[in-house]
Amino acid sequence: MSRIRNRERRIGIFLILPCLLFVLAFVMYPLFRNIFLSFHAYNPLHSLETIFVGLDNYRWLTTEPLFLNSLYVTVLFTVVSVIFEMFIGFFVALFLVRMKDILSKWVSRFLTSIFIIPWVVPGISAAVAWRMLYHPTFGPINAMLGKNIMWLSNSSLSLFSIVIADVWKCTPFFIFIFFAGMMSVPIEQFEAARTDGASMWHEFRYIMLPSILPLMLVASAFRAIDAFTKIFDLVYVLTGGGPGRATEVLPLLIYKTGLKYFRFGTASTLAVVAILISLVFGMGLLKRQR
Amino acid sequence: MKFSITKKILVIILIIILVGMTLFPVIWMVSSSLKVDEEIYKIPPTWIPEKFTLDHYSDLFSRFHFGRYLPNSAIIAISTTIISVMLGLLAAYGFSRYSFPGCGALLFVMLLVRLFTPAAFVVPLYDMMRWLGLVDTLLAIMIGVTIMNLPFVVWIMKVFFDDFPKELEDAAKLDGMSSLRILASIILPLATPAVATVALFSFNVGWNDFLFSLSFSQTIRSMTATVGIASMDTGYKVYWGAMMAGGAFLSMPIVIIAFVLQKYFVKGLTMGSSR
Repeated sequence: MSRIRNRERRIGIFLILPCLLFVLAFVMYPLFRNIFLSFHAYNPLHSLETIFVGLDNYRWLTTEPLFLNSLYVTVLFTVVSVIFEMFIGFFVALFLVRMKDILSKWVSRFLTSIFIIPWVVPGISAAVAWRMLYHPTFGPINAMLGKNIMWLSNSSLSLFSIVIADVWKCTPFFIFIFFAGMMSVPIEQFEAARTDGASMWHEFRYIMLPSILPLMLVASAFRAIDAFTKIFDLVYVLTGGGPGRATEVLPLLIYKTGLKYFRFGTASTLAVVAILISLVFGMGLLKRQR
Repeated sequence: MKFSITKKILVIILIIILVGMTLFPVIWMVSSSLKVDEEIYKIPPTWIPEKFTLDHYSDLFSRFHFGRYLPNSAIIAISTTIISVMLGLLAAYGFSRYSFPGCGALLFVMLLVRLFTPAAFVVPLYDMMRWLGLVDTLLAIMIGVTIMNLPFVVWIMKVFFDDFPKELEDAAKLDGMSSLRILASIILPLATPAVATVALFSFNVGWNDFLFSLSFSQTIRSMTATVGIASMDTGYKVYWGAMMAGGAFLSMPIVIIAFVLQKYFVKGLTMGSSR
């Protein structure tokens, strides 16, 4: 019996080995290398020597406004865009579910195909399209509004302009998730409520909302993590982090510090802190999922 | 249920607005890519080109090296799909059927990768690639993208295997089939929809990748189309026409795939979060 179990275990390890090696080399090693470098000064443009500096890099983060500004910008971007996306997504999905009887199957399929477009369009394509849309002189948005707004070069507006582009791209995520969720709310409950003379508002408030609320929380938490950790393409193309540092989100700051200024020690420290922040927010969520 | 005419009209108007809001950036991109340069700078801007031209698309290949960028993008997308799905599938099956020390910890790490910003991998990976002499190669970019893809494949496929009826496998085992043969000849044929979903997801991430390509490529040898498009803003001049053409060209394959395999895209989108 134990020989069979040993054999079984060997097969298991054999199956996992390639994946394990990949994770060790390209996930675990970079993580530990980040932690190591965060205690060192390392500027490969000048020398390949790593110099131990203790907590200097971390101290630098708290004194230099660079990091705190970036953290603030990223959090603001995440919160505002996810709230917008969630609300718009919720109401569009609700509208589609309500109108299910009016819309023929063909129209529903057509709408699915349309709504999936922003979500699948490459981030860079969306970014260049929005960059031209926002152009102050020959962009169509200003032409339609009849105004001359500096969407991307006005520092109090530029982050909001990026939020709008992100809302355009990511709202479909919520539309699809909420639509699927609302469709699985048992119809009989609606029917029962309706014969009791419940108004539309009551139906929404006491049946739809409670059954969809857990899904809303989970979906927006996941989306928030993605927004916080993966916002890069849009900002890089639309503003490059500017004007000044008004839209310098954390992933962009890490990239610039590392591969533009080659301050690897500082960049690694930023990476470690960014990872810690998302761990604090993400762990609770993942635990609940499992 | 009965609907009045006015309500129907209202619904149609709302739908038209929604569709318009969803499509206008894409329509603008495609329309501008077909305009001659003078019309691009015209005020007020036009939504339908007065004179159609495909010059910007031919410029992509004659001036902006798309003949190199596009194959590079395709190689990265296809290779990361193959590697992520192969490694991920085997590992997911192993995780689902066998247990051994450290297995829970490894799975947990894979779950956590989702929480890490991809930018955190850029510096240590760059250092590593320089050390291995792999800077400015497609392999380096492919590895970066696979870091993001592999954990997703493992988790989605593990859930699939966990739900897979064990009776089928037990019967095959009694017939003396080996585990690998069971995986290949009994489970995989039934797993096609799940595999299609994760493969599509991986391909999409690879095709759209910008960060790793920007970080590791230095010459057209390993630049992808995404970096090529971004570099049409030279700092002195922005080649708007070519930029829009590039953006539209890059979107085309993925939008076509999304239309044809819509079901899998929507599934992948909902699977990641509402499992």
